[in-house]
Amino acid sequence: MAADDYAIVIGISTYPGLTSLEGPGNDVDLFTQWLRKKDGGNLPKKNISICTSRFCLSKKFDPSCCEQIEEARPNREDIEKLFRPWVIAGTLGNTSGRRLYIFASGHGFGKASDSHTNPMDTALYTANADVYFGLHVAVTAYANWLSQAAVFNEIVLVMDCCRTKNLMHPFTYPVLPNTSHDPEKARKVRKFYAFASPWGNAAKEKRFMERENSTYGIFTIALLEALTKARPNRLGNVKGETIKKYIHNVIDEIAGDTKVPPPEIDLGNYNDLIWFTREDPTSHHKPLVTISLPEFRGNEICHIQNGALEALDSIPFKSEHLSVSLEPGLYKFSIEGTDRNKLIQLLNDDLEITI
Amino acid sequence: MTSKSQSEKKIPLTIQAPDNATEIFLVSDRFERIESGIGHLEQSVSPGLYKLRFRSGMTQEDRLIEVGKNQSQVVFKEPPLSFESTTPLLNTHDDNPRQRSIAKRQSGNVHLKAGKGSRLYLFIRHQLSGSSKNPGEGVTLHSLEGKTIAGMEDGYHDSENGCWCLNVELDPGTYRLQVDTGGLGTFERFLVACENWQTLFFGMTTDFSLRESKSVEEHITRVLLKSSSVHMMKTGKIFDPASASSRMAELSKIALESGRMVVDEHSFNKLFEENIDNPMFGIYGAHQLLANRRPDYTIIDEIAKQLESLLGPHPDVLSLWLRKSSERMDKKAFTLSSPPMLTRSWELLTRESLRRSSIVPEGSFSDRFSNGMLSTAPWLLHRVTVESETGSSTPSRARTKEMLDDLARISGTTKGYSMLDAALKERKDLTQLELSIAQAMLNQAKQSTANPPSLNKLVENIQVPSVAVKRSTNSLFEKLNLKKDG
Repeated sequence: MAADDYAIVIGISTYPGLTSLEGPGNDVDLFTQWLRKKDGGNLPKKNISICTSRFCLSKKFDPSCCEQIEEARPNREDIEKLFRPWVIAGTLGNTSGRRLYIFASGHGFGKASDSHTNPMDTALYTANADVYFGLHVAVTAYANWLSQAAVFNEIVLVMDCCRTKNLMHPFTYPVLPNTSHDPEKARKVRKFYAFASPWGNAAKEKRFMERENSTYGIFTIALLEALTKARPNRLGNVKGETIKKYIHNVIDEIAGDTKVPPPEIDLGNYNDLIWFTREDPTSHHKPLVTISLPEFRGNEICHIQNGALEALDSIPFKSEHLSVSLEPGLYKFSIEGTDRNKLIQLLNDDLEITI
Repeated sequence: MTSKSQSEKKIPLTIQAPDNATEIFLVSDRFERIESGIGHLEQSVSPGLYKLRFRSGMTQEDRLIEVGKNQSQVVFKEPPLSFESTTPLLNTHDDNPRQRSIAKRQSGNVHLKAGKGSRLYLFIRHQLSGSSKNPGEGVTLHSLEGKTIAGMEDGYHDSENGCWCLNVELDPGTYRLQVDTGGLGTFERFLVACENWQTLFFGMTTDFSLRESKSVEEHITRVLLKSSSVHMMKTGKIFDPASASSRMAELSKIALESGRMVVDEHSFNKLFEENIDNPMFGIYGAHQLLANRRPDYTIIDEIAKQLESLLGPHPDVLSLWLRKSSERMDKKAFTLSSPPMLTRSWELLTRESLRRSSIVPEGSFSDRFSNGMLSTAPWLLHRVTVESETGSSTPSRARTKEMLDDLARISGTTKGYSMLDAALKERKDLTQLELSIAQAMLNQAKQSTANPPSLNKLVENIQVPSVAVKRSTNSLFEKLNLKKDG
C-alpha cells in the first residue's frame, strides 16, 4: 500500500451562478476509484481528501446550498482547508510524504496575461462564483508552492477544466506563507502537471454510452485509460512520459465528434516520475483486431506486417471475419494476390477494420 | 516489437504541410516522436510505417504512411486543414462563402473619410448567418483622444448574411475600437493605422446577455474583442480570403494566443524573400520568437528593422526593441505614448518603464488609461470607465518607496488594516489602480513575514507603467488622508 502518498480530489458540478456541469462528480468518483485500486494508486482511504458539490472532507453540505449563490459550496475556504495541512508542513520545513495527487474538475480559467513567468497559472471557480464575482482558487499556485517547499518528493497535478481567459475576473493568488525554501530540494521534486486544454482554451465534457451514458470530462477519461492500459517498460514501470504520449494518442478518438484541443502536460525539469509499477510487465492487455472482408471467396490470405514492415503472420480467412491479437503499434494488413491493403494504428482498444 | 537495424539503409522522407504555419510531428510505430517541424520537414528514416500529425491552429489530423524498402524517396503533401478562424478564410470552420465574398468585396470600398494616408477596415460577422441583428451593434470607433469617428450606422450591414463592415480612410495613428456590451460595461481595443497601409480588423459576435436575461429580445449580441484578429495589407489592395499570407497570419495569431510557436527562421526568410504583404504575420511571429526561453535576437532585430522600415513607428514593432540587451542606438530616445495592440508589447513596455520611466510620457494615453487595462492574450484590452482624474502629481521613485513602506506599516496594524479593508469595500472614489495597490498591501499584511510590495513588484503584478503606479500611490495616500509619517 502506498501509505506515503496523499491525494486532494476536487470536483465541482453545481454552480448556481454559472452553468452547472455534469462531469466533475463522475470524474472525482473515477479518479478516486483508481487511487484506491491495488493496481492503481493503491492509496489508503484516509489519505484521500475529497471535496465535491455534495460534501467536503466527509462533511455533507446542506442540499439547499446549491440554490443560492452566496451559500453555494464548496467555496474557497472549503478548498483551502484541503491544502492547509501540507502548507503548514511546508512552512515548518517538513517533508510529508512521497507523492501528492491534486485532481481538480469543474469550471476554470487561465491567467489572462500571457506573461511567460508562470505560464501554467490555472484556477478553479468555486461553487459561489458568478459572472460578477469570479471567486476561484488558483490550484496551480498551491501545487507550485508545495513543490517549492518540497513537502512531497513528487506532485501530480491534474486539472480537467477550462483555461480560457476571463476578462472580468482577475487571477488572484492565494495568500501563502512567504518562507524560504531549499532550492536544491525544490529542484528535485518530480512533477506531472496535466491540463485538459492548452492555455486559453476550453476543456470539454461528454456523455459516454459505454459508461452507462454518464457524463465525464474527456480528459479524465483519456487519463484513466492511459493509467489502465499504458504499456510499462521492461522493468514494469509506467512513467510520466508514457502516460503523456498515451493521452495525446487517444484523446481525439475518445472525444469522437466533440472537438478538443490538445491537452498540455508538463513533466517538469527533473527526472520523470514513475506513476506505478506493474508486477508482471507482460500481463498487459493485447487488443484484438477484427478484419472484415466483404467480398470473401474462401481462399484469401491476410498478411500482417509490423511497423518495420517485417512479416508477422499470414492467416487464411475461414469466413469473412478474422481476428488477431497484437501489441499496440502501427501495422499493415494486405490481402494476398490483390492490391487491397490497410495501414492501421492500434492503440489499446480492440479495433474493427474492413479491407 | 520492431527491430529497425541501425545499418539499414535510410530513405529520405519529405513532409510538406499545407502552409508554413502548420506544425508537423513525425511519430514512430512505437508512438515515439522522431522529429517535428513547421511547414516542412525532411528526415531520413528506415523503411517502415510512420504516423504524421499535422496541427493547424487548434485542429489536429493524423496520417499513417508507409516508407517502402524499394523507394528511393517519399514525399507526403498534406492538403489544407480546416481550423477555427475569426477571419473569414477559405477552408476554415464556419466558413461562409457569402460572408467571405462580402469581406473581400467591401475591403475595396471606402465607407467614410475621416482623414488620409491610411485605412481601417472593420468586419464583424455572426457565426450563424440566421440572426437579423446587426453584428456591428454597440461598436464605435474613436480617436485616441476620445473623439467619435464612426459608429454602426456608418458601415455596411448585410442582414441576410449576418455581417457588418466599415472601411474608414484616416490619418495614420492609433485608434480605439469600443464595444458597449450593456450590463457588463464598455470595452475597447487599439488599432494601429500606418501610412499607405490598411489595417483589417475581423471579429465574431457572442452573447453578452446577463444570466437574468430570459427573453430573446434581451439578448445582447456583440463582437468579442478578445478573440478578434488583425491583418494588414497595402492600401488599394483587396482582402483575399484564399491568400497564403492571410492564412499564415491567422495561424500565427492563434499560436500567440495559445502560447505555441509556429514560426522559425525559415518562415521569416521566406516572408522577406516574397515581399511582406501582411506584416501582421511578422509582428505575431516576432513576439512568438521573443517569448522563447533563449530567443535569437539577431533574427528578432532583423524582423523589427524590416517591419519598421515598412510601417514606421508602430508600437508593436518598437516594443520588440525593449529589452536590456537591445543594441538599438536610439532606444533611449523613443517613447510609447500610445498603447500597442498586443499584450506582449504592453508587458515589454511596463517592464521597460522600471528601467526608464520616460518610455511612457507622463500624461500620455498609455499613462492616463493604464487604470483599466486588461492584459488578455493576445490583445491588450481596456475597460472604459468614467473615473475622475486624480489630479495628483507624480512623486519621485524615492518618495514612492517611502509611501509604499508607510502603507505597508499602516496595514500591518489592526487599525490600519481595518481602515484599508473598509476603503476597499466602501470607497467608490478609488480608481482600479488605487484599489489594486491597497489590495496588495492587505495581502502582504496577512503574511507577517512578507516584504512590503515594492514599486517593481507592483509594476510586474499589476502590469501598468511605473509612472502610473507612482501617481496612484500618491493619490491613494491623499484620498486616505495619510501623512508622510503615517
